[in-house]
Amino acid sequence: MEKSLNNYVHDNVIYSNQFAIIAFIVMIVFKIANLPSYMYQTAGRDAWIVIGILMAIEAAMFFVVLYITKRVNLLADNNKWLYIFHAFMYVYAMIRLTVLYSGLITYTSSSLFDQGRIDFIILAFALVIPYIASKGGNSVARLFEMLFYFVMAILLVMILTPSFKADFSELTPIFGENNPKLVNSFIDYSVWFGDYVPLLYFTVKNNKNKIIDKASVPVAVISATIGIVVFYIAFIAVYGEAGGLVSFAFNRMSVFNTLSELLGATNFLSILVWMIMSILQITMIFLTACNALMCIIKNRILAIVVNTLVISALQWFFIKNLETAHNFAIGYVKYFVIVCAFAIPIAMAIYAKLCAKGKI
Amino acid sequence: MKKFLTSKWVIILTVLILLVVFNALVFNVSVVNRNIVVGLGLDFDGTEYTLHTQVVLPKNGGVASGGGNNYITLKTNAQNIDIAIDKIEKEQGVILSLAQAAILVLGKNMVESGDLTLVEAFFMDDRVHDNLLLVMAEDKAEDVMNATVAAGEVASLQLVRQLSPTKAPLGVSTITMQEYIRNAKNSNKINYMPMISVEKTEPSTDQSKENEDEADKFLITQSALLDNNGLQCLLDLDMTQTFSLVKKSLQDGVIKVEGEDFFSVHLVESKTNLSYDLDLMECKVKIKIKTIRTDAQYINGKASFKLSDEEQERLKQSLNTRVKALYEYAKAQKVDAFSIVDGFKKKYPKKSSQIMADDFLDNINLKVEVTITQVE
Repeated sequence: MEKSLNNYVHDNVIYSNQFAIIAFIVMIVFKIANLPSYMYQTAGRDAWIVIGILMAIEAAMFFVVLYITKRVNLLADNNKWLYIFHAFMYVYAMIRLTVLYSGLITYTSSSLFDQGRIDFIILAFALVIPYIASKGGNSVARLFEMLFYFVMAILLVMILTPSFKADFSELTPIFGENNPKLVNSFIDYSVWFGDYVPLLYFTVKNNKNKIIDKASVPVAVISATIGIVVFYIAFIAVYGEAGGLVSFAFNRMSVFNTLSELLGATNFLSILVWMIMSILQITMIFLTACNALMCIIKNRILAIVVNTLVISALQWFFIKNLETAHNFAIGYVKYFVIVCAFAIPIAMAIYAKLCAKGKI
Repeated sequence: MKKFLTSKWVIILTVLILLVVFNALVFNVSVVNRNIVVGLGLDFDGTEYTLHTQVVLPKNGGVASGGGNNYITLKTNAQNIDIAIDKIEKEQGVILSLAQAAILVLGKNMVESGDLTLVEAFFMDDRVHDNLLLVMAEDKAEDVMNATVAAGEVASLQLVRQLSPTKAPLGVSTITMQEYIRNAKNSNKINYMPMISVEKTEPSTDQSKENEDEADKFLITQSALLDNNGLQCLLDLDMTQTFSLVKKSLQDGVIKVEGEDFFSVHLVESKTNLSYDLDLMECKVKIKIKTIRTDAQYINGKASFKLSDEEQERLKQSLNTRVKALYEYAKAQKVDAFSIVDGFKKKYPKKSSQIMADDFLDNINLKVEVTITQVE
C-alpha cells in the first residue's frame, strides 16, 4: 500500500460523540423530505406506525455498527475476503446515492430558483461533494460536528414557534382499514433506510468523558427516532388524506410556524437547514462509495474521479427527475438494498468477533 | 505555476467562480421583473375561468420611508390555472411571485358550478403558501378584488386583516388551503369558508378631505358549507357562530341569550368535543365554555359579573337549541355539518357499511352538553 493511502485509511478515527452526531443527522435528513408522501401513499394514516417500527430497527442497527467500528478498521484491513464486502458496499452506496442525490438536486432546483437548470446544479455539487469527501472520514466527521450546532439552533427555532392547524382525528382508526399495501410499506422504501451502513468505514474511539461516551449514541438515535415519529404524526394530522400530494414534507411543514407566517412560502430557515444536512448525508454516502472502490482498485484519487463522473452522469442522463428516482428505488433494487442493509453489518459483526478472538 | 495548478486553491477558485456566475446562468429573475402577488381571485362563467391577481408595485423608498406601495389587479380568462398564470406573465412580461399570496377569493358561481379541484392546482404548486386563506364572494370574486378600501390599502390585504384577528372569535371560521384540501380529500368531511359581501359606505369626515369617493366595506358574517360537488348551503350570522363554536376552539366573542330578560356573556374560551355511541345511535356534542357576564348586575348594592343559576340554565338551553337548529337545518340540505358520519366511521371502522347508509344521519340522536365555567 502506498504511503499516502496508508495514512488515509488510518485517518478515519472518530470519537463516539461524533458518531452520535452523524447518526442523528443521517437518520432524519431524507426521511423528512419525500418519504412522508411516499409512505402515506402506501401505508395511509398508519404511516407513522410503520416509520416508528422501521426507525426502531434502524436505531438498533446503529449499535451493531458501533460494536463493529470499535473493534475493527475495515478500511485498513487487507483481508482478501473483505473484497466481497467492499464490492457489496460499493453497489449498495451507488444505488442509494443515485436515488437520494436526485432528491437534493430537485430540491435545490425547485426551492432556490424559478427555473433551476439541473445540469448546472449537478456541476456545482460535482465539485463540492467530492472535495469534502476527498478530505477523508475524519474531516467529514468534524464537518458534521461543526454544523450540528448550527442545524440544531435552526431546528429549535422552528420547533419552538409552531403554528399548526392539525386534526389529530386523521390518525384514526389505527390499522382500522384493511390496507393491502401496508406490508409493502415496510419494504418499498428500503433505499431511504440503512443510514448506519456508511459508518462501517469509520473506526470509533472512546470519548475521554465517560458519560458522553456511553450516553451520546443512545441519546442521538433515540431522539432521532422520536423526532421522526412526531414529525410523521404532525404531517398526517396537518395534511390528512392530502399527504400523498405533498412533496418535500419538511419544507411544507416548516411553513407552519410563526416565523414563516411573516416570511411567506419561501422559508429560508428550512431550506438552509435541510440543504446543510442533505449535503452532509450525500457526502457521507459518496465517501462510502469512494472508500469501497478505493479498497478494490487501491487508488483513492481515481476512485473519487470515477465516482464523481459516474454519479453525475447517472443524474444527468438517467435519473433526470424525482419520479424516475422513485420508480428506480421501488423497483428490484429495493430487495438488494434491504438485504445489504442487514447482511453487511451482521456479517461484519461476526468478522469483528472472530478478529477479536484472533481466529482471522 | 505548476505548484498552483495542482493545489487545492484551483478547486476553491473554480467553485467560487461557478457560484458567482451561477445566478446568471440559471435564469434567476430580478425583482424588477417580478410581480409580487398578494391576493388571488377566481370566477367561473360557465365556460372559462377568470383569474384575478392583485400585485404589488413597489415605490421608491417603500413603506419604511413613507413611500407606500401601489397595487394593481391583473385578470385573464383561461381553461385552467396554469394557462391563466402563463397568460398574465406573457402579457405583462413579468414573473408572478405567488409566495406572498395571502388569500384566494372564489366567486359564488365558481363554488356552485366550477371545478373545485382547481384549488388543488394551487396546493400542488410549491410556490403557493399552505396558509393561503380561502373565502367565497357573495357574487363575483371580481367585486371583492376591485373593492375600494382605505387609501393606500388593497382589498385582499384588508380582507386578510379582517379575517385574522389575534384571538379566534365567535364569528366566521377562517380556513386555509391546507385545511380545505385535507377536508376535501376526505369524502365524509364537510368543508366551509367565510362568505364576503361588499357594502358601499359613505366616506368618513376625515377621509372626505382627501377622497370624495365612496369607500367599500367588507361584511364577513356568513359561511358557506360545501362538499366535493360544490356549495351546499349558506349559514346566517347566528348559525355561523354556532358552527364556529362546535368546530373550533375560540377565545373571543359575545353570546346573546334572547328572552324576556335579555343578557349576554363574553366568551373567554371554548372547546368542543364530539363523542359517538353506535349502540345508542347517539352523538354527544360536549361544549365547554369559560364566560363572564358582559354587563354587571347589582346585587345588594354590589356589582357582580356572575351568572345566576337561572341564567346559566338559560345559556345552556340557548346553546342547545342553536346547535340542534344548525344540525337540523344542514341535515335538511343533505349536509353533515359536524362531520358526524366521519366521526362514527373513525370510531367504528368495521361497521362502515351501517354508517354509510343513506338514512344513518336521520336515525342519529344529537345530544348537547354544555359546561360553563365562570371567570372572575
